[in-house]
Amino acid sequence: MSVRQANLIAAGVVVLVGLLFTISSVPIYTRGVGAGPGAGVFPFWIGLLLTACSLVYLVNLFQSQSPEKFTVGAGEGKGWFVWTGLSLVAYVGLMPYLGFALATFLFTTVCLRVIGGYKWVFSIVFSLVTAILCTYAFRVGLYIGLPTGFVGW
Amino acid sequence: MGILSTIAYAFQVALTPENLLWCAIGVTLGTLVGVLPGVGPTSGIAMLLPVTTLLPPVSGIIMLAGIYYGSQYGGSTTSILVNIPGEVSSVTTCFDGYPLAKAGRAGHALAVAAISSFVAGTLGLVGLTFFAPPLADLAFALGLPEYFLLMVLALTIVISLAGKSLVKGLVAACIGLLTTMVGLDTISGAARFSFGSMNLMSGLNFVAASIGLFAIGEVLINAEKGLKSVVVEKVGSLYPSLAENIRLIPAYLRSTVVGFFLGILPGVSPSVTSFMAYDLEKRVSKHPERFGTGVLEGVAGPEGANNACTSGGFIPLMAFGIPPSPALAVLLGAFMMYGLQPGPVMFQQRPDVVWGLIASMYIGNVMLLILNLPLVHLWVKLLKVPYPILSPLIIVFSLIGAFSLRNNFFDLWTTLLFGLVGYLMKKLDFPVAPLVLCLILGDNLEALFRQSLTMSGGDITVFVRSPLCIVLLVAIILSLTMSIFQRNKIAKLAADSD
Repeated sequence: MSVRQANLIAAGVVVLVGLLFTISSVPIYTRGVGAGPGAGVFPFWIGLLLTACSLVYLVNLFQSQSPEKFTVGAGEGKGWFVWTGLSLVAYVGLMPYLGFALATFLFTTVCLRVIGGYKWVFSIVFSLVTAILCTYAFRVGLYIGLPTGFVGW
Repeated sequence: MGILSTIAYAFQVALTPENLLWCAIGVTLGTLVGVLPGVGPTSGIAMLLPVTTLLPPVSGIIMLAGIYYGSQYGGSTTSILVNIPGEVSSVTTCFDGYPLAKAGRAGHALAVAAISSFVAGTLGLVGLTFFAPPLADLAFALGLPEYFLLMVLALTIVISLAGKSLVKGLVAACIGLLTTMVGLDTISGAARFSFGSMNLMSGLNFVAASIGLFAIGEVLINAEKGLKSVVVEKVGSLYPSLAENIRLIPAYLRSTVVGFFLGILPGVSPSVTSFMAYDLEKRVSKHPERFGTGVLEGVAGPEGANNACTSGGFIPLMAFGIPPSPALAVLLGAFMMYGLQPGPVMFQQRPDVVWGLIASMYIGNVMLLILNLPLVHLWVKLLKVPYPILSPLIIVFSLIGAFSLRNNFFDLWTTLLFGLVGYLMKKLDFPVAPLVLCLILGDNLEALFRQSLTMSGGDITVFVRSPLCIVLLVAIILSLTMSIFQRNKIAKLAADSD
């Protein structure tokens, strides 16, 4: 995909977002207090401005040409990018079930072993220390509530 | 209160053991944030913001501000020793700092960077101490429509200066504004854009979004680049000769003036001022051809300017509640989380916060000088931490910060979503600054707009009734048209050179 095509997709998405906000503002346009503007006035006009700007952006793109290639996560650290992204989603997705400590341990281990290429022993020990220290420092030291999951910590 | 009694009161607040401790923690973390590539002051403040809500407001704000100005000191270390700027504002320091390090004068370059930062930072604070109160008094004269237009002007200047495309800047700003409108409308109580979701009804948290945009987005960008371990040049002896220091005094002063006055303007980030100060040093030098080969003025200029800029940036924030840069926008978010609204009223109602913060910055600058000169070897060691170890730690701390806001998993997904948005924005050359500023100012902007119209009975001409309104409107139009004109000129020049 070229940079121009990627920009075209981005512009298309932004046009849709602008339209979504503009149209959704209509039913609440007048809902307000006293003589003042309703809850939908500001988002309606900002949504419209966003739509207009993205249309200008789209028109500019049609007139331009860019042979440059657009790639996601394809730099020197292609593997890093994919693994970081996947492990991040898994980390957040599993945290409610595994709890903060266990999820952090698994996430850090994956990052160190797979992305960093460190040995298993180092990865596990470092992750264990990180998970325990973070849990202790934030939960006990700073009284910050962290997710507990089915294991209770 | 007279100025002397005000200053005495300010130091009385800042010198309590508790505030001194948090100031020290803030500037140390700031230096760390500046030293480590891939972590910026904005993400640093955003990550730690939820944790500081446990502290009293004065201590929390002192610590977060310490991270901001401390990062400007730390950024120079990586620029000089490894040719990788820790902060965008330290890019210029690489030009002469790294050649100096290659020539075995890294210690001298680091010392000049620290001294210049200290001199400019402290002189900038003197400016802040004397300029902020009268400007805050001036803000009292502003009505709601004038305040609204002043905020719009600040945003348009940021949009005009950010990125290569004005349209992209406007798109980013609109997305930021619309994001703040998701959830219950605080004036009418109407649910907006929640599409039946309880999570969306409570709104998208701006701190979670900021953490995503800066911390997670940056990790993804760096992961893609495959940031490797760095080779650090030897520090060698610190402290240049007395003669060299005396020769550099004009450079210290010039960089202060450039950084401070440009720092007051919205959208002029420390990185812009450091480029301008570098350019100025080159112009006034008798040997401009030596710049880029390792001259101390090439380090003193940009480093002084970016520190003076941080002091200058606090003026619009404290006097009007308008942050001129993304990092200060997140700091404004911290004020809001404490239920404080920077501006003229805060000078009267919470002088402890205003003056305690200003005095703490003087103290923090002294602490930073100590941290960055005798302890420079410690920071050099930290530079060697490989990025594959650093990145999971950044992610873990970011997510703890995002979760602790409301103990809500939805905020974690918000952080991830905005992380992806931040990554794509950088890839597609969209400026992030307008988005963050609008995320923080969006609620206020809408409230001012609606209150102005409510006050006038729905009459839109309220925005053109006073002479000040007209001046502000003209300034808004001018900033946008000048931006279009300038970009067209640049595009033409580029086309001609092709």
